[in-house]
Amino acid sequence: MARPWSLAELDQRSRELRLLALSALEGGERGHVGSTMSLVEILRVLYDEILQIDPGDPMAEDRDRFILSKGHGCIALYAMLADKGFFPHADLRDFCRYGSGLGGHPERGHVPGVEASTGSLGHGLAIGVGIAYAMSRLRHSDARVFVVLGDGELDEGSVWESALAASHHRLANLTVIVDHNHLQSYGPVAEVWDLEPLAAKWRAFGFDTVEVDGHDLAELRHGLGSRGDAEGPRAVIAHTVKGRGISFAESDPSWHHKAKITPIDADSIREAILSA
Amino acid sequence: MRKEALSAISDLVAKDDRVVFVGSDLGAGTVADIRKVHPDRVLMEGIAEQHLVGFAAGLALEGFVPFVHTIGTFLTRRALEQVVVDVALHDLPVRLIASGGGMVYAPLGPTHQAIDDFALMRAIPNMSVLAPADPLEVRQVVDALAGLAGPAYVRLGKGGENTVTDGLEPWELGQPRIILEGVGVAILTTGVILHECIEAAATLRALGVDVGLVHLPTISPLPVETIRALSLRYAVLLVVEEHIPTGGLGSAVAEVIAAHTSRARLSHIHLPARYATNYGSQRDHWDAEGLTASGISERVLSLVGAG
Repeated sequence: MARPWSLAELDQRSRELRLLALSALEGGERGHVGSTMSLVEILRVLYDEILQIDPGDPMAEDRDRFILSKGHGCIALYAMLADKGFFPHADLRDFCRYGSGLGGHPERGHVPGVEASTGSLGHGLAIGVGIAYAMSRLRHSDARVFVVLGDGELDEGSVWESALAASHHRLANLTVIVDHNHLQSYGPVAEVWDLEPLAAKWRAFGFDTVEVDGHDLAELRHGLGSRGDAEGPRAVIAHTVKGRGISFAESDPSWHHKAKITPIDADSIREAILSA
Repeated sequence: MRKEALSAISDLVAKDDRVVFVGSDLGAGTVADIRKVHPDRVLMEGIAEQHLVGFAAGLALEGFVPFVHTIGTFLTRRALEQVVVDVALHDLPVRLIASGGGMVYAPLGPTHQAIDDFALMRAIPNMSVLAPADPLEVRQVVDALAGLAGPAYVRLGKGGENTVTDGLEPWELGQPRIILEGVGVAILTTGVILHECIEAAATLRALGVDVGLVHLPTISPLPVETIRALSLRYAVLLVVEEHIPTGGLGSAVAEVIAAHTSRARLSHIHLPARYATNYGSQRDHWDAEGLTASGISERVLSLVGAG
């Protein structure tokens, strides 16, 4: 399958993180496969190189805040948090099980390291703007706030209310990342509701905006690494491939979500990741 | 009443650096004085209730106590999912201060009439739902909310109400207020319609009808034990509320009576179960539905006669 939005290759760590995510998909026998896999490198660069956080002290006052507004991509976040030691790898196997803290959308208080409960789309940016305002204007902290939005999520009008507010308050500590995998549940974003010109929209809303290959570590590092132009918030449009790393799922909307993942499916996914 | 609420919130902003006021494009000059002193904690934001409720949740996650103020229907209807998910699911101390409770905005039409706000907010398990009756109680409610851990919704009346609660026992959050002990029929009410109930009770007492009167500034969580005790003591509980019949104080009282298989009858004076088709004033609508001193006393007389 062609990958028009990304040319980056996956290295060993990217494959390992995907295998961790697979343990949740396999254990829970379900999950948002495509929406998880497009996120992996975005989270990897954030958690490996940018976020000032301490798994031993997950609520430290001046920690950077990360909100996954596209909560349905939570398996990627769970894998990343487990990798960082917020909770044991083995917990991933209990994904969506009765009694597990790891649900089909992430919840604060259930999962160490999760800052906000999300799931219904269009909520995370408003919460992130509130946190960014509190940190910069009321606490005078240098902490940064990162919010990942899905591209389909940008259909929600509340996102743009929050974008207006972030820009009005010149929240230079806020970075929005759009996981632009070009595919929503039904099909191509361009066919459901075309978002173009997307970068121009964010610029028009007052965001210092860059576009990067969302699976290219160097481009992500460059896009995420600075605090923007210090005058206002930053938007990073990360072009990704839905289902990235699972050849047969890439850019295939039928892999957006699977309510049943059999052991055979899991084996096929594992094989595909290992050969990606 | 709104003026008193804003004054009380301004005082809180001045003395408690956790308190943040978040207005949504309110009238020119609103909270201008306190905004000059604390520009970072007195915000006048745009017309974006969904965002503002989520924004307030973000502030609360960082230890602040936001008071979000705009017209009630925009908080309870427009931003309902944000109230549920961002505020209540996170169990955050966000305060939703709603102007225009009931039919205050009668001339502005159904989009502005908060006739279903109790029902919408009562459906949220951890939401405190309050309807103070007079300026003194508004101030007591605002002060009490500085210290409450979870979320709260406050319905405000039109303003200009006399103070009628000054002779009562000191009030604490959640407490009912027994205004008159009686026999046979007890009137249970909340919010500004208390004034009509007090007048009705005076008329009834002059006629020798020993009616009871209880004001419930907090309708959620309901003081269940008090309602239960009332339902055992009185033959009829007459709930008077400026709200549609479903989901408000009348429903809440009915739930208690049913759960405790009390013999008390429930009688209910309320707004009709429809969106208003007339404009006019709040008083016009009260008159039409018997939400007045005379309507209430007539109902009690008929209940006593029937009993």
